Amino acid sequence: MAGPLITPDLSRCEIGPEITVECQTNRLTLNAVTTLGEERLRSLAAAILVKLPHTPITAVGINHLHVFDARNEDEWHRVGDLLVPKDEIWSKAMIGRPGMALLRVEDFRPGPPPVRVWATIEPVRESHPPYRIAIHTNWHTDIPQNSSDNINPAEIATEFVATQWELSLDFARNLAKTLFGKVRATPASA
Amino acid sequence: MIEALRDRPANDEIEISLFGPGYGESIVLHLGGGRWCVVDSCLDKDTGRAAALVYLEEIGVDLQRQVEIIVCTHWHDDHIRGMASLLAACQNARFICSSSLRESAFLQIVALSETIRGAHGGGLNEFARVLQQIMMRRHCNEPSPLETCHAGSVLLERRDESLPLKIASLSPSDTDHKRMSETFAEKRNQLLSSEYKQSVPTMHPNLGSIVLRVEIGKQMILLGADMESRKSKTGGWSAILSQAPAASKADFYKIAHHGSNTGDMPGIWTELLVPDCPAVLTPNQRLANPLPRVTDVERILRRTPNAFATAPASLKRKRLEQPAERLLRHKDIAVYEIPSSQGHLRARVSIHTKDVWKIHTYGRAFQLAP
Amino acid sequence: MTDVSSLDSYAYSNQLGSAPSVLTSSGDTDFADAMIYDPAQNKDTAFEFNGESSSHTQHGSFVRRRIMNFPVARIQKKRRNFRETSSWEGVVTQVSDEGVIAKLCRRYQDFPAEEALIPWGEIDPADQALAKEGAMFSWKVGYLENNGQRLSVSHIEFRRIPSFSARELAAAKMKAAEYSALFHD
Repeated sequence: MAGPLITPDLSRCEIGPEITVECQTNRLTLNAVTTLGEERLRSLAAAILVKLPHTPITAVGINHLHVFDARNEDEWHRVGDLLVPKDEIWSKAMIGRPGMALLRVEDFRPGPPPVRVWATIEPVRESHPPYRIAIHTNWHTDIPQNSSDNINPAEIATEFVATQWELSLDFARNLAKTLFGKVRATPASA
Repeated sequence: MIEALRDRPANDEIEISLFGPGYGESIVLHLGGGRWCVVDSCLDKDTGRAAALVYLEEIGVDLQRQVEIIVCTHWHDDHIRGMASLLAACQNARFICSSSLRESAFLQIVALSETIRGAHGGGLNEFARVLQQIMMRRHCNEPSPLETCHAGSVLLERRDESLPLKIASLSPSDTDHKRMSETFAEKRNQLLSSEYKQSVPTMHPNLGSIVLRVEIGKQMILLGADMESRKSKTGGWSAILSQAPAASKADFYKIAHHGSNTGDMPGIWTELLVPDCPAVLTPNQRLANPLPRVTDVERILRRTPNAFATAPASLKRKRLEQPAERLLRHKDIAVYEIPSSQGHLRARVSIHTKDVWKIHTYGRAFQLAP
Repeated sequence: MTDVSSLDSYAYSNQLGSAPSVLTSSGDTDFADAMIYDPAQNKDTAFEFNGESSSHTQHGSFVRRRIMNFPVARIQKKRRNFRETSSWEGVVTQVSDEGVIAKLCRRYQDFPAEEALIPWGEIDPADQALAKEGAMFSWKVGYLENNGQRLSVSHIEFRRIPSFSARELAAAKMKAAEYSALFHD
């Protein structure tokens, strides 16, 4: 991006080399290019939400994207074979060599706060090597509107960013640890 | 665990086991007759569990039946790590802490610190876990094990002539209790008025900590916790020294506050302890204020030649991964390990006679020398 | 089972980009219909299989809901990558003329395991006013690849999360009252 983009429906700008801010009429997205920007992203998100108490926020989510290099092509394939076994269904239903393109799993944690968790795992389709696996996690909460408790949605969103950040990261790391631990414990294919 | 440590004390034998990895302190006491008491908690590096728990399990103690009381002298993280799991394992033990911890300002600080993870909550988070344990038991209609004590409280007493026992707390005094209340209110307000969320500001709970006098048969033990001296006569060690003296002086001393000079007063050694009594300490190996200093060791050795420490008081620079190691060395920034390798001092003596204490050192523990 | 430290050295050292992002949404857009598991919904089910019929009450069931469609990030070749090799969360314990002494906690630790004296020169001037006792920060060290150049980087950033909200304070007071009741049993 060469510079900020400002239109009635979409505004986008960069803050330093790390942070991008994209604001649409119904969505605000803040991104950090690398983990160097993580702390600043978190602080910025909380600060924006605190400054805009009247914004009718309906949901807030924290996303993490982790990309890992498998040690070799075999290990890369084993991720897909582990998550989506081919023997019983896919190799019988499909012609050729079916492979996992993308897997999405979701969970609900009652909390408080109630959190919906999504995890998406996909092989990265670039030239190989390296053989990469991307794990994208989303940790979000829906914010009640018109609550009888007179709750300020922005306050809830700020608290969420402040208190759930580590949990969302823990989840992403635990998922990666579990997945790769299992992959490496699985014998290599013949 | 070394083989020698697997033997349990005899029924008429007192044991004091002091664990200290360099940062952390836990005391396990055998009170005679297979009854045990634990004072404070630290972690065993190898297992990540409470050191007292690991030791008692190793020597075959029935944690549910034989551990009678757990005392939390104060909530600093070097005295409380693993306390919640210890309480969970010793299901019939009474849990005793300082009466100053009932203050609503302190409990609000504990509740607020639960929303802060990681490096921040530390001891307060562990204390919250203890309270949650107790709440769970209450929900299950079990009796609450929670009690508090202050100067003059009797925690445990047994008038059995063959194994007489009395554990009494000598602190906190009314003055120290009041001072802690003021500190809690001030720190809570500081926490709430800060523009940004911050970790709980440093509080100094040492004056609110519990000093114990343990009388078992003919033996008297003084456990100094982290108590410090104060200039006024109504607080700290001054308050303890101004109390009515016990019938006899202690012949074993767990040195207060890691051997610091603020934890020491001449009156402790002249009025509360027999001359040259064995004295043990745990170091506090921190960058800001490592204890004991060389001058502290010299001072202690002037009081008694029989002084021991669970670990040396020296900081160890941590070797980091690259490029951190290279980069930080270039910037002359050192990262130090908060030590965790265990040292263990074990002292035993007969309940019925005035024998000399037999003290053994294990792990990194050693006898202090000039 | 792979332990965390070996996963750290393997996976995170090869990490292309752990890119966090925060999204908020308001209004009715970008929604999709999905079957969501709702534990509060009990469902009575009857079915027939191989000529046998059966019924049961399932506690919690899938219900059709409109849900927000959070985007899946596309992996792009980036001109800027950071390979994090060391990472701490720190709390300032003491401030001096030389710098700050801080307790350092690695992720997944309940208690800090390291300490350091961080000179003022390492702290961004904009952050120095925040560097007081109790202040929290993150400290990351690693390799930064930026426009073809590779640098070793040590980056400290202080946390600026707004202080406790009225809700948090009210919740803390309630919890403190519950704790206090334990002492009065």
